[in-house]
Amino acid sequence: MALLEVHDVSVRFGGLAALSEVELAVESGVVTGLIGPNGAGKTTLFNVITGLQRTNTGSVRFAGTDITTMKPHRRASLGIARTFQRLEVFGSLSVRENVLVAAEMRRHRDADRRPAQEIADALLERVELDQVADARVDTLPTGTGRIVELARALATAPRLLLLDEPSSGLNQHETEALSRLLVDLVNDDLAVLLVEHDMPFVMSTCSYIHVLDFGTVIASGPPATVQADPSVIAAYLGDDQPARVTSPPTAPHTRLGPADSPALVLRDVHAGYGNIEVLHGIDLAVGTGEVLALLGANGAGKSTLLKVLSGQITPRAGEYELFGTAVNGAGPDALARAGLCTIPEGRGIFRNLTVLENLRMLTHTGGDFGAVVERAFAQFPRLAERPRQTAGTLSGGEQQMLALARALATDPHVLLLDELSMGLAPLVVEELYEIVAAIARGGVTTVIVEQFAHGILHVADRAAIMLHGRIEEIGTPSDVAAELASVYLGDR
Amino acid sequence: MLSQRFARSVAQRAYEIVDDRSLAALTGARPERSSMLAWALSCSLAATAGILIAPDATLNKAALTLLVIDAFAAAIIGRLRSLPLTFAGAILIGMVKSYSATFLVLGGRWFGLQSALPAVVLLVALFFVPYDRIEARRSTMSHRLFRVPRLREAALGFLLIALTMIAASYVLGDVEGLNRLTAVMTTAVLLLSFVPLTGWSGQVSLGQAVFVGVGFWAFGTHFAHTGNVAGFGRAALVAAVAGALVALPALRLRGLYLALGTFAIASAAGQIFYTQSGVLQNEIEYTRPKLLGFDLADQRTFLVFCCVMFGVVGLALVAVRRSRYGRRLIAVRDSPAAAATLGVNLTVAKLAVFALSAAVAGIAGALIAMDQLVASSQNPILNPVTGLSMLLFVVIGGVAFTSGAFAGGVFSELIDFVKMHLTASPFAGVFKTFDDVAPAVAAVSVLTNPDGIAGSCSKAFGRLLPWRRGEPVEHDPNAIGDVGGAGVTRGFTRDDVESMDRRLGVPVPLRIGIDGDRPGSLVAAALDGEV
Repeated sequence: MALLEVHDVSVRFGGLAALSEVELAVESGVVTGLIGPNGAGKTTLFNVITGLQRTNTGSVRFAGTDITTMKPHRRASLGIARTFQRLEVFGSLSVRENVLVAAEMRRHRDADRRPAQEIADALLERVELDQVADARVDTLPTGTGRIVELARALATAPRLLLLDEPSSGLNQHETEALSRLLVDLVNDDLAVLLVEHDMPFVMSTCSYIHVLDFGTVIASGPPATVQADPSVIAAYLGDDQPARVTSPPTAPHTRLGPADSPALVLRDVHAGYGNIEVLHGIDLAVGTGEVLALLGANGAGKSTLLKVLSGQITPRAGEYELFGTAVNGAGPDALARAGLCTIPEGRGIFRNLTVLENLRMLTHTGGDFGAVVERAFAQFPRLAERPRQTAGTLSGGEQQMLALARALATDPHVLLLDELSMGLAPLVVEELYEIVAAIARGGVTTVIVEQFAHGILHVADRAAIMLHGRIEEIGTPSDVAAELASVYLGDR
Repeated sequence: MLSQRFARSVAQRAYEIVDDRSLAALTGARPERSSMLAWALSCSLAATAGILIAPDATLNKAALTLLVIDAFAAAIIGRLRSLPLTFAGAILIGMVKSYSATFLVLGGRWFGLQSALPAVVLLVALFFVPYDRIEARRSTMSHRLFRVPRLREAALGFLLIALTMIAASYVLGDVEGLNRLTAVMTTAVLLLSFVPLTGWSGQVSLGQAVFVGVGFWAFGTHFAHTGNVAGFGRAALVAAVAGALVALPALRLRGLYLALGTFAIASAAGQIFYTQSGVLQNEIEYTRPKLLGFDLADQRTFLVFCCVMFGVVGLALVAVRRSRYGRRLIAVRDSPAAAATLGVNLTVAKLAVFALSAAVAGIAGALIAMDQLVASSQNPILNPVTGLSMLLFVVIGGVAFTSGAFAGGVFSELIDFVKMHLTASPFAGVFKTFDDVAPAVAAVSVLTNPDGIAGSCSKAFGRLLPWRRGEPVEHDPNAIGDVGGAGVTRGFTRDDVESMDRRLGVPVPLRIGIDGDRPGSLVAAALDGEV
C-alpha cells in the first residue's frame, strides 16, 4: 500500500475546476514527480494534501489513515511537510530560528531525542546554510529562502515531503546539491512528491511521474514513458505538432514589418522587483498591427516584460517608446487611457462584480456604456445570457471572454495578453485565439504571452522565446516552433 | 436620483479597487482618485447621519466614538458584505434599543444591560461568522524586526529604569511628583500587555481595559481582606482566563475588525460585568501592606515596588520571546500557512497570546488599584475610549519593545502634566484640548517613525554598548550601500548608484547611467560627460 493515496479528489473555485477526479499515489523511498503546465492544479493538490484547501469530493489517505478533513497541524504531526512555490519563510526570524521552530514541533514522533538546537544545527550543515545561520531570512535571496524552507520541512522529521518548485531561483551548483540531497533522503525511506518546471532535473531525479493538465491526471509512469507520451507532448506544446505549423491565417490588410513604424519599442530594458533583476537587457520592436507571441518556460521573465509594457513596472534602465513617444515611468492608468489594453495573467476580471458591472469598468477610458454592452454581447452571446451573474462564478472560458470583451469594446491601439490559455480546455483556447486573431486583423498591435505553444503560433506574425530574462530567439513562428521542444522538454 | 447614480458609480469604483487595485489601474481607472471619492462619500454620509441623530446625541467625543459599536454590529450581521442585511441589522439594533428603552425595565444588577445591547448583539452575531481560511500568502504586516535582548541585557535595562525613577523621585520630591512617577510605572505595566499581543503577534486589541477591571476585582476581593500580595498571581490567572474567553469570538476577526470587536467587548463589560454585585458594584478600598519589612504605604517605597513589578513582568516577557513559544508567535505572524503545515495549532497559539496579554493587564489592574487605594467601576482607565489612547501611547513608545511600554508610560503622563499645569500660559486654550489633539499629532509621528521611541533609541545608542559593537546593522533598502572604496579602488556598481540616488531622491530621468559590466568611477563618468 502506498504511503499517500489521493482518491477521486475534485476542487472547484467558482466556475473553475481546479482538480477533477484526481487519482494519485506516492510510495516511500522514491521521488515521485508531479508536472504539468501552469494552472494545471499542482499547487492546489499540495494544498489539498496539507489541509490548506478543502475538497469538494474524494478522499486523501496517509499511511492508512483518512486525513481528508483533518486540520493542517494534525497532518503535520502525522509526518507531512511541504515547501511553498511562493516563499512562506518566517522572514523576520533568522535562518536558524526558522529551522528551530520546526524542530521544536517534532516532539514525540521519533527516536531522535537530541535537543532541537542540535537537530537544527546538524540540518543547517547538511544543506550548507551554516554560513548564514544567523542572518534574517528576508534579507537573503529567493534561492536561499527555498533551501531554508526545505531545511525547515526536514526538521519536522517528515515521512512525506512535498516540494513545490524547489529549484527555481537556484543556480546550477545548488540544483545539483539539491538533487543529491533528495537521493539521500529517499534512501532513508522518505517519500518525496516533487513539483518542478526544470525538466532535466525532474527527469533525472524522479523514478515515477504524474502529469497533471486542467486538473486531471493525463499520464503516469516512469520518466521515459511520460516523456514520449503523446498526450503529454500535446499538453505542453498544443495539439499541433511543430512541423504542422502553417503560415498565419489570411491577413486582409497589409501587415507592417517591425522596421516600418514600430508601435512598441524597448531598448536595453532592465527591470525587476526589489533587489532582484529579472530582465537583463531586452531589445524589442513590435510593428503597428503586428502580432507577437512571447514564449518561454516559467520564470523566464515574460510576465515581467508584459508588466513593463503595461506600465506596472518602471524599467531600471533602458527606454520604452509607445508610438514614438518615450513613456518611461508612465503609470498603468495613463497608458490605459493612451490606448493600451492589458489583460493580466489569471482572468482579467473583477471576480466580485457582475458581468454588467465589469463591462461598466470599460467606460473609464471614455466610451458609451450602452455601446460597450451591445458590442460585447453581440460577440459573446454566452455573456448576454447572464448579465447579472457574479463574474467569479462564470466558467473559466466565460471569464476570459469577459476579459477579452475589453479588447473588443474599447478599440485599443495595443493589446497585451498574459497567458490567455491558462487552465482552459484546448477547444476553448482555440475559440479564444480566433477572437484574438479577429481583433488583430483590425490593425491592433498585439503582444501575447504564453507559457506553452498551444495554437498561438497560428495567430502570430512573429514569435520570440525568452530564457533567463533575455530574448533567446526571435523569428517567424515556424522557425521558433522548431526550437520549442528543446526549450520546454529539457534537452537544453 | 442624481445622487443615487453618483453614489452607485463611486461605490462601484471603490469596490473595484478593493477587489483588485492593479487591475483597476489597467482598465484606466485612477485608484487614488476613487479612494478619495469613497472617503468623501463616506464622510458626507456620516455627516448626514450626524444631523439625523443630533436630537438624541450629545456632542461628546466618547459617546460618539461608541456609536461605532452599533454600526459594527449591523455590519457583522451583514457579514461585512451584504448591504441589505446590514440595513436589516441596523433596523434590528435600532428597534431593540428604542423598545428596550421604553418597555424593558431592568433594575439592580442588570441595569446596564440596556445600553450594552448593541455590543451583546454583536458578540452573538460574531459566533455565526465563519473562521478565516488560512491564507497561503504572507501577511501584509510589516516585517520590521527588532533585536531581541538577552535576559542579562534586559535585566540591566530594567535596573537602569528603576534607578532613573528613584533618582527622579528625589528631584520631584513633592506629593504630586511622586504620584506622577508612580502613575508612569503603573501605566508602563499596563502597556507591557500590548507588547506580546500587538508588537510580536501583530494583533490589535482595544479591550485591554476589561482585563484591568478583572484585575481590580480578582485582586481586590482577595487582597482587601487578607493583605496578601499573592493576590497579584490571582489577578493574573483570572485575567488570563478572561482573556482566553474574550479571544474565542475575537479570533474570527482580524486587523481593524478585531480592534472593533475587542472595543465592543470592553464597552459591554463596562456596562454589564462591573455592575454585578461582588464585582465593582461597590468601591473596593485597600490599605497597602508591609512587604518584607518595607512599608508600601510610603509613596517612594511603593514607587520602587512598581519598578520591581515592571522589571519582573518585563523580564518574564523577554524570556517568553526568547523561548520556543516566542519564536512560534513570530512564525504564526510571518506565515500562518507555513506555521500550520509545520504542526503549529494556530487557534491555540492565538488564544495563548491573548491570555498572556490579559494576564499582564490584570497585574497592571492590581497595581493601579493598589496605587489609587480604591477600585471603582468609574475609574477612567476602564473607559473603553481610553483603550484607544493606550494603544497609541505604546505605539509611540515602541510596541515591539518592553522598554517601549516605559516610554509610552512617560509620554502619557507628560501629556496629562502639560494639560493640568500650563493653564496660565498664552497657549492655555491649546493645552486644554491637548489630550484631544495629541493622539492625532502622535499618529502622524508614528507614521514617520514606526519603530517608536524605544526603537530609535535602540538603534542610536545600542552600538555604544561594547558587546553590541560587532553586530551587523539592520538591512535598510534605502540606506546607502557599502560604497567603501567605490570610485577610488573600484568602480561604482549599479547598486551603489541606485542606493545613493534613492537616498538623495534623484528623479528617475536624471539618474546616472552606469554600465554594470564596465569598471568606472564618478570621475570617469564626469570625464565622459555623463554627469
